[in-house]
Amino acid sequence: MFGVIRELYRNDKRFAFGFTVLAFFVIISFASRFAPYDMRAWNTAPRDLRPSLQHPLGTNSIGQDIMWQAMVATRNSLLLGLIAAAISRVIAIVVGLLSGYKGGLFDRVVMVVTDSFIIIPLFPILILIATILRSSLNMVVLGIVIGLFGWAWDARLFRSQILSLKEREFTKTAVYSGLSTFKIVLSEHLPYIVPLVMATTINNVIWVIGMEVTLSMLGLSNLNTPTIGTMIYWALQYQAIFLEMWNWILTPVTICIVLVLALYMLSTSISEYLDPRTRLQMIRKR
Amino acid sequence: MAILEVKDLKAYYITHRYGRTTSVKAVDGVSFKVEKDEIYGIAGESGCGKSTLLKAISGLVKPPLQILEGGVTYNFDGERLNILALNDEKQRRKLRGARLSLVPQGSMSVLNPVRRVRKSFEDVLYAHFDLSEQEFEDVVRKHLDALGLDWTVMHTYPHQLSGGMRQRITIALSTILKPDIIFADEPTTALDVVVQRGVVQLIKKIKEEQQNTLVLVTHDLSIHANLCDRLAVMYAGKIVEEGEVDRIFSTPKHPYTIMLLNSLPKLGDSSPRSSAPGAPPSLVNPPSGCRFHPRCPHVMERCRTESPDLIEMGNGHRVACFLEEGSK
Amino acid sequence: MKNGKLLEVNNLTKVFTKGQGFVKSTIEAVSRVSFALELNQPEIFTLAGESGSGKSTVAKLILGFEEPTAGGILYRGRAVANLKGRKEFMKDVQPIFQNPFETFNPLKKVQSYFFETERNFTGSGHGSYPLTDKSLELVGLSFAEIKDKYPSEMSGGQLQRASIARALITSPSLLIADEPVSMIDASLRMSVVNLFKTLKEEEQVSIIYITHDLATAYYISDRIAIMLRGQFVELGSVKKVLDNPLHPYTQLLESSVPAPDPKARWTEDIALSDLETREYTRKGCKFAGRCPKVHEICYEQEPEYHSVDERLVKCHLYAQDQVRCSSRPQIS
Repeated sequence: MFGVIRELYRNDKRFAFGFTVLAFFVIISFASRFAPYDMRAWNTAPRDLRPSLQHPLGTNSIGQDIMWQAMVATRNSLLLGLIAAAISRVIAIVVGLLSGYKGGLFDRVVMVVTDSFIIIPLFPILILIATILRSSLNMVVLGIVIGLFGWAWDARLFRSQILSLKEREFTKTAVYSGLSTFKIVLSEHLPYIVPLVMATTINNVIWVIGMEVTLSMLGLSNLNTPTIGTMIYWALQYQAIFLEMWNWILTPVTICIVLVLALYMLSTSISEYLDPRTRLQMIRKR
Repeated sequence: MAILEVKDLKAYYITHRYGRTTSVKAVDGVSFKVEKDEIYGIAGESGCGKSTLLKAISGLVKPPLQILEGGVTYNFDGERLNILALNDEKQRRKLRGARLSLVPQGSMSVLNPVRRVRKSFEDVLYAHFDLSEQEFEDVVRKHLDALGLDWTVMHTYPHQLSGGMRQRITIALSTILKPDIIFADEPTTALDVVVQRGVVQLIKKIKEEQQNTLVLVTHDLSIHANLCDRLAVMYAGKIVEEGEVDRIFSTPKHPYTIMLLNSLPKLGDSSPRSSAPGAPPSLVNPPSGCRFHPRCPHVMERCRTESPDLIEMGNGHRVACFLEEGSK
Repeated sequence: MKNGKLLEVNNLTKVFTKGQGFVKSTIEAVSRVSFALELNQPEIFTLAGESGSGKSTVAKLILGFEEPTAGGILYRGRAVANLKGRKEFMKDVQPIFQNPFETFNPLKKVQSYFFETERNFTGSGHGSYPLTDKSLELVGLSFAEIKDKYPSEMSGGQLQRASIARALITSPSLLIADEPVSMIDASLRMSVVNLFKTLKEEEQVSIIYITHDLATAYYISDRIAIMLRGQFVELGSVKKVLDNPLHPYTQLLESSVPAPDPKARWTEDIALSDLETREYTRKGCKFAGRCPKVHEICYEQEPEYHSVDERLVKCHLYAQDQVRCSSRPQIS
């Protein structure tokens, strides 16, 4: 595992960038545990201070230290992304695999349901749910809700991969080698599915983060919990742009952009590495 | 008069991935000439470099394929052209279709599946000429009639036609501008035996009608026997034997050619046949010296270290083998 | 009720429907195919035909990857319907596929299939794999040649031989080889084809050899069945059928095989079929569209099987003064 990471790090600049940045953010997230202030409270520090040694990124108009705010925000956003992605992965895999293998009527029914989830305009629904649940909407609930809507597209992807794998000749060879259906799925087909899962997971995290930022910017989530989105919301509420308080508005925006970029780089470099065709080329060079 | 002259051509595929550089020496020092109005065949098995050779000489060189050295010169009505020196894509495009035409491998999949056949013909013709619709129809109808194809295929989508039919349409498409030289890469592979015969028939007809030169690349020696005037046998990126088709089939000189001919079954003949031992080598790390030496029944010490050049044996028959050097 | 045949195929029919709802089209890919292989009489039986003839579908039906629409398959007297409960069948009947690079999962080591086959069908395979070694030897490979290798590290010829070796581990009585040499280079084909011959003669294995290459069929088979659009049109010993073909389609096929000899070039032109589905849906004889000896009746009525010169021919030309068989052919 580490050998793979090292090899990718050394040879693929995208991976190097993505991995480093992500590692940086993860460390920050852990470090945020040591925040000397309660990040939900206001006025824990003097307002509108310029960056100084005591407050490296300054403070904002509601009296919070921006640097620690950003660290906690990063942690919350990442956590949200992970929860939502995990939930939607599990649903997508179960639905996609079952549907692909069973076929027939089961497949048709499930696909109709899946298609409905794909077509439903997610954003209005999220707004609706967020408005209803406004007060009790913490990160976990938000994560679950987003997760419950983010599986449909990828379920279809996994299903079509299974469908094509079923037809390939080596599946027939496996049948005539005496393997049970379960073993065939595990040993023949999973190596093709796993790269897809990994690539879509990271993409899913990106999407979730983006969703959260959008919702929060519109004021539709729990605005007391610091996340990248809520930071932007408050900054905008207090006219940070007009008042040229760059440290307040640019911090979350930059974090968001850099994080998404890093995740995207990771996603493409990993999926290229895991792509069966690339792996074949690697095998040939041994 | 030679319409095409290839000299010392070297074309490799060079890829860099994850810190490793690999070069596949697909064409490694190839020289030959194609005379006007002849059918010239290039035979060889998979992985010998013949498809790459075709790409290189028709100017379709895109990374990771690189031309390392050598020249490819065409002679169209006295005008000499080095296609590799033409850096302008526009110039190359003008040549394609009008002077030089390539029928690629698997060409039955070349037709756009969401457009009717007629559209593909329109694309080709209107790219080179300004024609009215009536003129277009006249030209195409005449061409199809000459080839024995029905006008009704114009209105069909590719998937409605059989593989053999699509192949023939692609051939018709690539010859509608009456090119001077046609390159065909495995035109009959993956076709049934009867359809194959139809395609060979078609190719012969085109040659009669348009008097063009044809370079045919395929691994199927029986097709070469049926169509070509002269034949070159490729092995591991180099030409090992070249000559008139009758001569090569009746008196093959290179051990690889002999082995190849012996391993082909003939209908009506059930005498025992044997296949060549070993397997074609990888082009990334070809064997030292003569590339055939690991499989050659007559291998000598010299073969392991030195690579033989093509020697003229008389009557245009060339062989690259140390065995023949003595008997000259 | 035990029958004395190894494999008996009776009026096997498979119809595929394309499309859904209002726009449906059906294709009879396999149409009332019948033949039988004798027990304890190993033979190489060729199913020859062009693409779209249905020969690969017959293989899939026998192997259980498709279910017949009509007709039946009896193996050693017992009916084999679908893939469930086929363990005994799979031990005795093994497949060899066309593309050696697809036969094995490119991401798995080739040896894993050998070990699985040995473990699941035979008594050994727990720790040591003697049957794997033995069958590799039979095909001329050593275990060292495949040890820890992935399919992309081996050549097509080697892989195909490995595929045959895997099929031999269970000591099958019948091999179903679907175009086993069409993806192998011409110079390496003979080694695999000769191997089939050896397997029949020395290991007593019967082989159903599916191909469009009549030259190799002539070289190793005992009997041959020519298929056109899902139907048998001629069936008999290979020397009879290919030395002196009776059915016009067989004649066309036989004369269209290119010979590796410049002196034997084709002299006549032939007509070709254009639309794929037209021949399938033709009433009467499927070959009527391009038969050089076509008569009026060929467009109207489907011919029956006639027994001529020790073979079965499905053609109106042989109707007069020949013995008329029932529509279920008996092989003499």
